[in-house]
Amino acid sequence: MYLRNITKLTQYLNKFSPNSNVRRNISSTTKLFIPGAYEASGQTNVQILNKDTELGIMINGFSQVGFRLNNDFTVLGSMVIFPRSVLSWNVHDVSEITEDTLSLFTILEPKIDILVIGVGDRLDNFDFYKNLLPFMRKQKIALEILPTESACSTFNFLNSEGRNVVGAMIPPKTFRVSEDDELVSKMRYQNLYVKE
Amino acid sequence: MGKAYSSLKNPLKNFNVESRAHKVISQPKPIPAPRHKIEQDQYDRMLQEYPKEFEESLKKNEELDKNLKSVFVTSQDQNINIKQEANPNRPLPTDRSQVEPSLYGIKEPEPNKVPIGKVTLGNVLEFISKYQGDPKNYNAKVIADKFTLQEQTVRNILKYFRVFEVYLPQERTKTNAKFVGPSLPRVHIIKEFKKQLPKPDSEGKT
Repeated sequence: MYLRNITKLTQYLNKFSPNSNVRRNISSTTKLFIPGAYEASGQTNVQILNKDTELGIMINGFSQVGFRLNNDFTVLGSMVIFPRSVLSWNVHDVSEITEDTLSLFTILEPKIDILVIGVGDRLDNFDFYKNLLPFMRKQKIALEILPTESACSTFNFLNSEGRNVVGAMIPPKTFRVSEDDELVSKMRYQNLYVKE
Repeated sequence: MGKAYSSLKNPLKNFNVESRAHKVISQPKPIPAPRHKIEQDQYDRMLQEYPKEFEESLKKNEELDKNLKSVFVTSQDQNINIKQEANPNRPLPTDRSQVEPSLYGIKEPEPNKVPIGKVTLGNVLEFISKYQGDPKNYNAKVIADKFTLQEQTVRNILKYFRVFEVYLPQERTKTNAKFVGPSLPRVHIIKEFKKQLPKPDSEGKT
C-alpha cells in the first residue's frame, strides 16, 4: 500500500468536479424509523443488494472522477468490474471503445455472459456501436450499451443474480443529482445541522 | 353526461324489481336462453336430417345405464418404492454438498481444461500485476508463451487494463475514504555510495 499525500488527489478531484461534494448514489437511502410501524407477519421488507457483501462487488455511486464501490473503495477513472474483482480501464471516452480496448473479454474462460458498457453521458450518436457489432457477434459476446447511470444499476442487478457479468464503465461528465443524493453526501462529509 | 344518463335510467330499471324476480324464480323449469343464430341453424338442420336419432338421444338407454352400474374402479398402492437402477456407464450425481463460493465469483476451470488461446480471470489478474512489477523481464512475449495467447492480444490487455494502487489519506477524516487509482510505472532511484577518487581541487593542482 502506498501512503501518499492526499492534497494532490483532492486538487485532481476539484479540477474535474467543482461541486465534488455531491455524488449520484445508486441505491443507498436513509433508513426510516417510524414509531408504531407494522412489525408482525406479512411485513414488507426491503433488501438492499449493495449491503449484502456475499453477492459480490457492487457500485454504490459515481461522479465525474470515478466510482464508489460497496467495499468502501473509491475507484478513480474508468474501470472494468467483474463479479468479485476490479481492474482499471485505460479508456477515457466513447470513441476509445474499440476491439483493442475490449480484447480482454474475448479470451476469458469461462466465457462472460454479458458485457455491460457504461458510455458515460447519454449518447445521441451510436456509430461506435455499429463498428463494434460485427466483432462482438464474431466473439459471441452479448452487449448492453447504456449511459453509466443505468449501466451501474444494471450491473448490480445482474451481479446479484450470480451471472458472469462484466461492467466496463466510463465516468460521466454530467449527471443529475436528486435531493436524496445531496442529503446522503452531506451526511457523509459534514454535520447536517451546521449552517453553511 | 354518462353519469347523468344512468342516474335517470336506474330508477326505471329497478322498478317493481322484486315481484319480477319472484316471477322468474317460481317457474318450475327455467326457460333456456335463446340460441345464437348459427347454433340455431345447426340445431334445426340436425332435426331435419336425423329426426330419429335425435329423438333416441333424448331417451334414457336402460342397457347402457345397467352396464355403467356394473363397472367399478379400484386401486391398490403397490410398488411405491420403485428404484430406478443406476446405469454404471452413465452414473447420476450423488454429491449433494453445497457449492462453495469461488474467489472470482464464477468457478474457474481446472488449469489443464482451459482451451488454447483462452485464460482464466485469476491468471489475467496475476500476469497484469506481475507485468506492472517487472515490465522488462515479464513482458508480453513471455506472458503469451506461458498462457498460449496471441502476443498482440496480450499487448493490448497490458496497455488498456491495469491493477489498482491504493491511496490512503494521511489524516484520518470523517469519511475514512480509501481511494484506488490505476497503478503507474515508477522509476525507483537507489543511490549507492561508490568509492571515488577525490575531486581535484585548486590546492591539488598547484
